[in-house]
Amino acid sequence: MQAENSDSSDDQLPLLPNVPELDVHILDEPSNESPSVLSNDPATRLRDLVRFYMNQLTLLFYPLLVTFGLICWLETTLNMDPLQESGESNTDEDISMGDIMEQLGSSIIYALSMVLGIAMITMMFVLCFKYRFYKVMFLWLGFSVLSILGVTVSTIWIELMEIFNLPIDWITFVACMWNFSVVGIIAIFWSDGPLWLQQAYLIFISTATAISLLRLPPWTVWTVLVAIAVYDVFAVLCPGGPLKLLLDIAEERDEDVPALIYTAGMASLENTSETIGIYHTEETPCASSSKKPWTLFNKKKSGYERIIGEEGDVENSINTNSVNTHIIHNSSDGPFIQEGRESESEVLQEEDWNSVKLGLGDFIFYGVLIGRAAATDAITVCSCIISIFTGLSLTILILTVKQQPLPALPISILFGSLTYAIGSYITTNMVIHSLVDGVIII
Amino acid sequence: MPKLDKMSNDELITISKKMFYGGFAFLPFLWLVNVMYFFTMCRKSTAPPALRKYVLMSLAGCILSFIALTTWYAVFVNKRVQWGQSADTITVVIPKGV
Repeated sequence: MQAENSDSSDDQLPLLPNVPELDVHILDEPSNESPSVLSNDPATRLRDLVRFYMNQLTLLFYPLLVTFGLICWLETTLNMDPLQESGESNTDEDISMGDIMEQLGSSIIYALSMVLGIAMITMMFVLCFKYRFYKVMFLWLGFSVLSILGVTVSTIWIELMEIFNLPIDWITFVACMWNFSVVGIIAIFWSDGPLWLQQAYLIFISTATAISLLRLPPWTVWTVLVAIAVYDVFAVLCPGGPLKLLLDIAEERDEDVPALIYTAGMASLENTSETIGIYHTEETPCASSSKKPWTLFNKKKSGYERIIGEEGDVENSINTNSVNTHIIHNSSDGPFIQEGRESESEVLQEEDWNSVKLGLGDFIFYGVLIGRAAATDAITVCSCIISIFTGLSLTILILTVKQQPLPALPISILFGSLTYAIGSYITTNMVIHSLVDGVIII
Repeated sequence: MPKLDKMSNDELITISKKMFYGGFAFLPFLWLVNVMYFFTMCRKSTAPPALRKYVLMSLAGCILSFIALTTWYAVFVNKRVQWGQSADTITVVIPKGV
């Protein structure tokens, strides 16, 4: 969608960058690459575009790796308590068929209810957006971020302290949590703050939500993952899906969809603060790459940011939102500024469409998959990470070619789950026995 | 997020001022963020003195708060057993096998 917009009109500031559905804003490709920018050959342009976005892809890998690392560490640390009943204890061979069916049945019920909950909340979000209840969305998002940063992180911290046997008193605890949460809210919702701080907090939020989702029983986690991936496909691609509706409404109004999106890069905001009116960061439930943040546990990661600038909402929302990935070296400073664009927002836009964004929901569900794999051994974790990255690259490649909002979750989750299944049951045993039996000598 | 060097001095001062005053709501972390954000800007000779003032004051406030918090925590950890019951009322996590 964004592709069409950007190509057609310059004055129409596309919500492109911010449009959740398009985590990659490919549209403006020509301006990104200076040499072949003016090349009219579609094949060359496409090739350059693909290359460009593949370069940007690596910018997304770093936060994903950090998130995965945090989740793995937390998972292994928090489950070290020997008094705790391990959920993995029933993966032994002597499980009766009845047990499996029972587990499977209950997990399917859990998954369906979660998907329903998420769908309902997304629909509510769509309705709010449609009837312009922006304040409601803003408060809702702010409340959810605050609750994640406050409650979930507190719980994790207390558990960590208990495992490390360190005392914490109320004064220190409240002081630290107050600081952490309030600065988090400021970092995410205030567009003038530092980018790296917002990125860090988005990573913390994803980690905390993933850890809390991992508290479900193991089978349920997998069923939920698969169900959400399937739901993502329907929500983004089907005409009646809530995400698609959100995107359509945003597009026809030329506004930015509220969403919490991670942008990996330096945003160069040329706009001064005067032109930026009200903005909310939003977590996009839609966006091809983003997954709905709404969970059954009412943790909302989205914030809606809409900037009402003098020229309109467009660019600002994009920039302020999350982190806009910006290709610094490819900043559109060159061609477009030389073309004499006066409006800063347009310049912003130019710069913005180079950024690659990934919705926070994707972070969370990738993290959940890795967290589940972390309960087994390192080989499975590494292969799952590689498969998720492969899925992400493939998704962005298809996105670049098709230029249409796509869900980022299904392909990666598919690859990840397959790799987990193969890895934990086959590869690990194979590698260990090869080493033990001397087939491979290190 | 605007790029720091692309913003005018007035904007920078406004942001720094907001962060400085915001830190008075028991938020030394915000002061720390202020310092980290504008540190490189302050090192340049073109930096406005007002910005430097805010950053320096934020740094002072942050260090003081950090020292205060660490002192309190150290006192608490060491004297916790000694204080006995009153310490238990303000403890969140009581380590096992004290």
